[in-house]
Amino acid sequence: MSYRRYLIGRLLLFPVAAVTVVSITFFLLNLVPTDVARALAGDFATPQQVQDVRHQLGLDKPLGQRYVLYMEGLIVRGDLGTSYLTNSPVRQQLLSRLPSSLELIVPGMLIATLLGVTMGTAGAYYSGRAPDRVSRIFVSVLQSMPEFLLALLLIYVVFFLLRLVPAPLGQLGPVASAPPTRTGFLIVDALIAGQWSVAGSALYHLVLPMLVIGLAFSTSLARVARTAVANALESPYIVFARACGLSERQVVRYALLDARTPLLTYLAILAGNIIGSAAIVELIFNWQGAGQWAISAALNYDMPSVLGFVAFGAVTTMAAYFILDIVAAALDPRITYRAAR
Amino acid sequence: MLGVAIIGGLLLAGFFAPLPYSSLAIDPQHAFEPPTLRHIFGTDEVGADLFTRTVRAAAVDLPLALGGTLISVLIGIPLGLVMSMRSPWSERAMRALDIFQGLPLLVIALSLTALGGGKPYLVVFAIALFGVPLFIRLMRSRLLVLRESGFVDSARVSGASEMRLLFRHLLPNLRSEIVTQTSLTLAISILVVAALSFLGVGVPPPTPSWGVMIRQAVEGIAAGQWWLLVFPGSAIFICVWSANMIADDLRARRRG
Repeated sequence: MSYRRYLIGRLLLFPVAAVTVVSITFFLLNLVPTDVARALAGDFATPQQVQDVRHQLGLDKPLGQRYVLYMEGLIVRGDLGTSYLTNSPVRQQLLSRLPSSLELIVPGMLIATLLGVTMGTAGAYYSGRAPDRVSRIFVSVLQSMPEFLLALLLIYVVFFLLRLVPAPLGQLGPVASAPPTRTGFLIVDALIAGQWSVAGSALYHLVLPMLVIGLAFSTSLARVARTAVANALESPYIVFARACGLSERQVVRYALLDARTPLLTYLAILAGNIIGSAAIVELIFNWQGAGQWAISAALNYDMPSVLGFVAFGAVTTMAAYFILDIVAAALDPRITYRAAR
Repeated sequence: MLGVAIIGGLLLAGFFAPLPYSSLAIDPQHAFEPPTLRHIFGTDEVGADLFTRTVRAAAVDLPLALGGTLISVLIGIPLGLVMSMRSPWSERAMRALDIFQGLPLLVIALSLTALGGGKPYLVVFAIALFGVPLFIRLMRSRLLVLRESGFVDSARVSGASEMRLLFRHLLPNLRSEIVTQTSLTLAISILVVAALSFLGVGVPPPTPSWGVMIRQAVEGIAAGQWWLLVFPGSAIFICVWSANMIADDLRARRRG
């Protein structure tokens, strides 16, 4: 089975899988026995007003028809519908929030990767010795703590006690004014406008939330790295490398190279769903990103926005797996493909 | 099995421990008191004793988490058995599961519980969104290997039916792995319950719940009221850590 046919197979299979999971979510959310129109109209609405809201949102149509309409919009036009709350297109709202999320997530993922791979590799290399024990304790402590607790504890220590970072009130804080929007990326916009102090303030506000994401997501990476590197270090390939008299530094480098496929796989999984996983951190730091937007949509019965965010999550996951397939095969000639029929 | 003792102990204490205060008793004159001998964990914004609320919350949060874990086992294992049949459809379903696990599950769970007004059964089903895929994966990956082994062939040859094969020969072999996965799922369940309550949809206040208590502690951070955050936070931490420990112990025991 050729590589190209394999990739085409994946390309065809993933959209079908994505449509399936978005459909499952659609029905899950619609099966909850609740009257969304009544909830949105408010406690003091008359039955007529509730009826009007229901009609306006199309909730008076049967479920099957609503499903067909939604999926048609999604698949044919890439349309994610209209928000129940703001009456504006969901896709536009989501895209306008995306740069802020990326500004937080990309550096957060970099920290998580560096920290996780370093801890995992140190743990595997010094197996059973002090660095291994330290990294194990670090991982098991962080893993037993919800991200929101970690975030709040760090806010207490680093902001309240040490006064090292600004208050967790968004990307700029209450006084600074935002630069004119060009790219949507706050730091980039500030630099384009030549507002160095605004860019500095944005970076300053980025420190703590970025650190929280880095710490919270480093743990699983550390576990994956530890297992993968430990396996690599036991392989005959490393015994041979040592027998050839390579330095220990080079031995570790080769072990890491050997461990790249599981590491890349885990990174792809993480990259695919981090926007959703980081949502709660965005909320705590009042970060105006897509995750916070999705949480408030979920709390306010705004089903089109929630579904839009879910569909977006399906697309990013698909993209991450697809890139993984290409990168893993490019880096590792041993990978051969059996087509998924 | 320290982990089992800790979680069991907290659960029992949550229901039965004789405590000096009521978890709902309001005493506004003594609001926001730091820990003292009278209130060893301090008091919250209405003056309720934080120690009492932290202990009693175990009787709210842990049953929800255990219920979610149980539902995940009950749905995940049969689905995993079905998925372990070799067919192109099970391959395709696994790809869909890959994508499903990449979805923002917390936002879906949040939306589900918010739509239902925080009914406990919805919290339990929201947990299943996280737990079921884990059991499907475990069952499928292990069963695909086990089905190739010699004892399965000999059972088949001696005329065992598919059902007998499954329940007499395959499932008993997976017992310890299922228990391990169950305790990992319990850890995840506690985290999900805490997150949902923290976001305001899991357990409605004033019922004591660790997530709700942390939600109420957010305001106090800028005023230095650390006890509001630290004690319920430690309770979550200890439970999740215990559940993870159980899984680690079981894994170590299996390796011998």
